[in-house]
Amino acid sequence: MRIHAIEIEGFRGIISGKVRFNDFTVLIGPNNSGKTTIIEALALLFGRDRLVRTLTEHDFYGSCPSVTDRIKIVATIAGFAPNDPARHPDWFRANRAVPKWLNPANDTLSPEKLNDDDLLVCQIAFCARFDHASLEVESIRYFLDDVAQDDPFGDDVSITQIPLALIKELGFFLVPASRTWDRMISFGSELFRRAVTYVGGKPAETVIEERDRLRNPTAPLEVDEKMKPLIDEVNRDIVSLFGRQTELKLRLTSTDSDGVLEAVIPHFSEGDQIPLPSRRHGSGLISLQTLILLMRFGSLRTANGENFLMCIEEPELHIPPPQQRRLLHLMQKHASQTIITTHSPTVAAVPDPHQLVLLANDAGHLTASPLLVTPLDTDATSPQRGLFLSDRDATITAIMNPAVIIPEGKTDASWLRLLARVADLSTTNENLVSFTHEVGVIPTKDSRIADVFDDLRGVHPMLTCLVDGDAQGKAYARTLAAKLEPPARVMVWPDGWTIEDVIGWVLAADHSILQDPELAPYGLPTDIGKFSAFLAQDNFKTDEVLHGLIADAISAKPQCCARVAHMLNVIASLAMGRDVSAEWATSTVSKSGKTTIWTFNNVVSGI
Amino acid sequence: MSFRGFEGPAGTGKTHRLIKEVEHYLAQHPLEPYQRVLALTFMHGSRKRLDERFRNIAALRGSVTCMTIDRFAQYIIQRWCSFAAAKGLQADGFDQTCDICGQLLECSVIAEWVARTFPVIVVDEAQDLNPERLRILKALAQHVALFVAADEFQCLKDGLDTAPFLQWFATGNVEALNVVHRTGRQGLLTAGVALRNLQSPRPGAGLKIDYEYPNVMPFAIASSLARAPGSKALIYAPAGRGWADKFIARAMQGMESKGYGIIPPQNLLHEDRNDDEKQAVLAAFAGMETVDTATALATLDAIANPPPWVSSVSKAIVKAAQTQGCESWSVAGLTDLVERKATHHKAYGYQRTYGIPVMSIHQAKNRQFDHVVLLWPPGVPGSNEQKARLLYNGITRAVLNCHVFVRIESLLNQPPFRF
Repeated sequence: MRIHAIEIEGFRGIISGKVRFNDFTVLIGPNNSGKTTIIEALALLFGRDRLVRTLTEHDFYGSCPSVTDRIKIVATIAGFAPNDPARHPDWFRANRAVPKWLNPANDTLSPEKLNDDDLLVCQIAFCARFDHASLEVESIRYFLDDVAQDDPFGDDVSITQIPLALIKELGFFLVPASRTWDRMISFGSELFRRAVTYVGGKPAETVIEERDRLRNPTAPLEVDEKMKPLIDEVNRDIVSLFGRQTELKLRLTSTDSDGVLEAVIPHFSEGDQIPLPSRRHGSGLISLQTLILLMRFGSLRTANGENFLMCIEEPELHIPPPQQRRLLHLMQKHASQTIITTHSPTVAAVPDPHQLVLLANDAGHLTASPLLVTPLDTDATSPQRGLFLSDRDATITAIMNPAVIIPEGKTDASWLRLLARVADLSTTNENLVSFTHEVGVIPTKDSRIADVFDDLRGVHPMLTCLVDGDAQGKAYARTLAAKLEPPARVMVWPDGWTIEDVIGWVLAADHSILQDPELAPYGLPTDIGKFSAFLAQDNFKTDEVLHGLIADAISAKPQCCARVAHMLNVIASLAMGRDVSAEWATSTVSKSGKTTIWTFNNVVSGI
Repeated sequence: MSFRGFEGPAGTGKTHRLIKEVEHYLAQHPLEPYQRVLALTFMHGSRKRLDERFRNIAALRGSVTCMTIDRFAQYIIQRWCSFAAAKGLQADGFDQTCDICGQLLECSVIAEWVARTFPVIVVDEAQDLNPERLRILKALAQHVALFVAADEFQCLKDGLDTAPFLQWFATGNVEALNVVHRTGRQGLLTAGVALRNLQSPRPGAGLKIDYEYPNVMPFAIASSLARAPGSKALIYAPAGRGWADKFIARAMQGMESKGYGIIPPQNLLHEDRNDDEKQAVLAAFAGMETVDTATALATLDAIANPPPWVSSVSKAIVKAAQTQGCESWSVAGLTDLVERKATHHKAYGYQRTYGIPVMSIHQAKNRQFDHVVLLWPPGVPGSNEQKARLLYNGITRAVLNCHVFVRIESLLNQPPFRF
């Protein structure tokens, strides 16, 4: 079985949203887009008690739940083999779930099987409300019979609760981001206990032997000659108070087998050295050991034909990059289904594009779009291959931002990144630049700006195309605006400008920049007006060493930095869909009325 | 799959055989740990009693679910509402709910879904099933082991065409039970046979049919009840409730006469106090149009001697405020809530009865008492056969004695007393 999809309403920062999962799914997205919310929603539905925190008002959207506000999470579980409800009596029968059928072609549910390849699914729901009298959150897990089902907290509403045994059958395991590894591997942790129990019972004989040894220590503490006088005093006091002979004994554990298991602390040893407790080791080793244990457990379950749903938040934590990739491959191998959230492009590079899901949260409305709906075709175009395969790291890094700029080419992208660095280094409290945390830039290949836009349109909700002010650029802008589904925003550099003119304009804020000694070997023109043409020459246009030196020089000149900051702020504002002053950029609306074309203004007083 | 059926006159142990047969079947076809026997009845009263009988069998304890057939129909429709909606099926009213449930169960997917949990289904008093409810059984019969007990003559619903039921019942593997075990009293047995043949019942050992002058009647009834040992009940024929009420009031005070001596006060209680209780509760809200939560709770709280289910009305009002934000009630909404809670209590709650139970013949169905006093007023509706059925159902409740009182003498010369 696997989780086909989850729908969330009113939970944390999500008013509504739906996420579909593959057998292997990596969720990426900007901060606050809802990655953790989705994982915790899964934990509420599929987790056993210990996995789930107690909910409070803050878990409701808006933090102020009214009596009728609900958190509602609905999961669709698929992957029943064979595809016949009669073969799964634990799931589908009276007093359990009602079968539903999923058409995989259009992802719609139906109460009866309509096509041969419809998939049997079960829908389960979690619902919670805040009780204003007890100040507690009441929650319930039940089989969802119908979308229009009555509120489960209503009077006389009969719902079918989900038995814990079924939840267990799904075998959902969550490794949260806030993990304390040394706790996780000890017997105190539920995981380790369960893994050990599963392997064939606790190591019972050894535990009982150890328990007996701890009950009757060879050298008990209470007979230690320094301790004895104190112990004797205590014993005498007890006799005088209670009139009974009661002797104090000191034991290392609670002398039951549970106490033995609780007291176990994992140690690791290297060579002949005395083993060190896990918390004395580097976190990398501990986290790897734990994950390996978890996966061993998973592979035991899957080998037994049981389910194992693995959910890991940020597997990159504490784990060095070389191992991250291998670890993910191992998970894929051992779990029935793996769901991962990540901020790491290394981790995001592992799945296929259709397994990589980008989350975006627009004022509470969550969208989850796979990078590609289906695996890449063999006849995929070169920009597509670049976007989703060879330059995937850059694409992912860009789309993990709230807004994305698609410039004409790679040079534009690399200049924007360099200028963003300048802005970050020179930023002051009065002159904050939001560009770096709001905008990602796609390194568009071969000027295929229109194709790239089409490829990303379904993935990211905030795309802005950035074109040159030359004839070619304006032609791109027209092509884009004429599309059936055009971009909401196209930004154009001032008339006749390319990115080199932008750099020239930045430098022109302080002519003295041309005297920068680092740049001397390149024979820069002495006239600032000729700089753009100089930079546009083939040998300098893509010379990233030179570009880096120019950027360094810019960061030393406050006036130049001011222009960079201004320009990036204008881009960021436009990309985020905010209004900008008419003095900074002028706008026209395309014929269809769907696209606003913004032209950057280079003549701004004070800049 | 053919079903097992049991038919026979009242007191022949149909329910007993039904349960024995299920036990026997289960010994050969054990249930999976998650499976249960589903026992369906027409009324909540029979459901409670059937439930109790199953519970007394150690082998079946905990593995039988008893519900009324209407409740079952509701459950199926509720769980499969998406499916029903897709098929354009919408239920309105009890009969239609059952009919749609039947239609749903005709889809083998749904019948099998039921059969996986309830591979064995038991139906008692099946003669009361109208075509809509019958449809449910017909559909299920294909998928489960079905055990049905019925006696067509005990169908008390005047105007219900029992032909469809009889037709279907004849297709089963039906065993006829002829020996009446309930009573060995010859008078009761002969009268029973006579009534089934629409012939005049004759008084005899165990059966008295009497008329008394109006001023003597209460003494006769009270004395009959007071002198009888063992369990007893006052049962009245349709249209007899008023008479019963008058008698109850008299009997509470105790009586004394030369002929009958001292008859101590007797506590007689309607089993079905529901309607009176409901009226008393609703009367507290008379004159109001909309009621806010606090007023509603205070009003309920102020009712003297509240029926036991009033607390569940209060709880529901608090819950509606807490979970649905409902702060004001229309009287219609409140009436509906009171109806629901009262009915629910009647169906599932614990009824305490100190004293002699009073009930209609319909309510007395499938019950037995050592001593039965039956009140037969004039104006009992229905055909002669219907009247015979009513009388039959009344007197067959008795294990030892049945004392029938007719309110006017001429009734003795009319059906069902004389054919």
